Amino acid sequence: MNLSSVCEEQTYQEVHRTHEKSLRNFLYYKFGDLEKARDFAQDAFIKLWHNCSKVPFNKAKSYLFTIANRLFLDEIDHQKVVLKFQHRLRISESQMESNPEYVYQQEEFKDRLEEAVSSLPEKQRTVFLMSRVDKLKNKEIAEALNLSIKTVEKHVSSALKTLKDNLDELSGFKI
Amino acid sequence: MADQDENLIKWLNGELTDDEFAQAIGKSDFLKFKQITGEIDQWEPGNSDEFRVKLEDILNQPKTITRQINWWQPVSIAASVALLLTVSVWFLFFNHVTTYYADAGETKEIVLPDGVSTVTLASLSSITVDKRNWKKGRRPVKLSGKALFDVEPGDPFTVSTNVGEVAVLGTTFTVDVFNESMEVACYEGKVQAKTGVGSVTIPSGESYLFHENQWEDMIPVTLSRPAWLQDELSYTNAPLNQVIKALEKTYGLTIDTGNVDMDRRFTGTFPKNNLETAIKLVFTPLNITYQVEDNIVYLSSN
Repeated sequence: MNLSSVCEEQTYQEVHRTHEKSLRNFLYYKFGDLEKARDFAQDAFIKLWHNCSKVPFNKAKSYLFTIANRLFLDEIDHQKVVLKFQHRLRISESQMESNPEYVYQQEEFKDRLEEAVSSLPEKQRTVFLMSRVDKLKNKEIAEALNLSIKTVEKHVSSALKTLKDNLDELSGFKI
Repeated sequence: MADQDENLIKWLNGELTDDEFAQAIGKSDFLKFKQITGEIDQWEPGNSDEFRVKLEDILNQPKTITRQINWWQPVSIAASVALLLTVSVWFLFFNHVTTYYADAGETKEIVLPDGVSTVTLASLSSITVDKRNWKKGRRPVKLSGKALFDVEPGDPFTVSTNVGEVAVLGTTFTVDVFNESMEVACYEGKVQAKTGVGSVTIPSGESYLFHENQWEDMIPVTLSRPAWLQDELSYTNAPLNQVIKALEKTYGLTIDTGNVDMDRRFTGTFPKNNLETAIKLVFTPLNITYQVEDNIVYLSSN
């Protein structure tokens, strides 16, 4: 019964440190506007602070994700999501070039993949990117989004399969 | 087709190796999956740092607190100490057992009877080992306090405490027993912890707290070894009485908790070798005032 624990500033800071980035990224993957994603993530954190005594420590994560999602839904006209990414490490390209076994042509591969990712169904896209980009465990994603682990597994694998099919079409592997 | 999905999920979960997966779906498809994940794994949303959610802007906002006052205070320290003493004495006189202690302020590493597994005891903790059991295909130990276990695979290994029991085959984990509570953190392998109200299976990288007669939700373990092996103690959402116990044991203190609400939680890190700093780091953020007189710390909250 740790009812008011999120009210302790240090505990709150820990919650913030742990989820700040993944919450903002979640909103970005879902809605595709990094600046708004940041603002709504921030609003969700403020709401958590306001209501700290009503949110137990172990519910803080799903509270944040639920609130942020709701805030965003209320505000935003749904339009086509276009996601753009930076490379975390500069080495990735050289790594892949030194690997003679790549199949898809390297030119424009990133652009095509970004396009394919952006056009994935929303749930698949969000869960898939939380898993691959944020390196969250299936269990952590399930907790944040109130899904079962099986559903998370399904979304991740379906997304990857759809990406491959999509790239195959573009690359002319399937005619 | 269904099999393929199944294999893809298994591969993503690390239950199939690259080779096994490639064999199942064909090399060309495998390389495509690998290329896609290899690329995406390097991604990061654009201009990430510019778009951070800043903590300072939040903590300035007001919060509403409706704190529940807990009238039920843990009262069993004396009782459990007495019980442990009785048990220890009984074991000393009636069994061929060895009890190892770590003195105040020190940690102590002990090699267990199998010759390979080790225990590192935290300050003022003890462990009791009956060698005769170890020859019969079991590896039981009794713990009071806090310890890190490095267990080599082999016969079943059990740590029993006055709160519950932790069972493993081979792994690295810590057990911290305080009052009627117990925290088990797993750094490698997998352990099972059992108390009167149920058991939890704890994979590596996770930690569970049994407190006020229930298992609380998982807390991730972020360090690769416990901080107390070095010069620090580190806690995430820990009950205040766990932290106070650690302070008492590390510095050989008595802490009079006064009117402080022991239901509160502490998150943070403090040193093992600087009493003044440690006390300040624990109590100041919680708005608890303290006064030190001859190894006794008097607490009060406003």
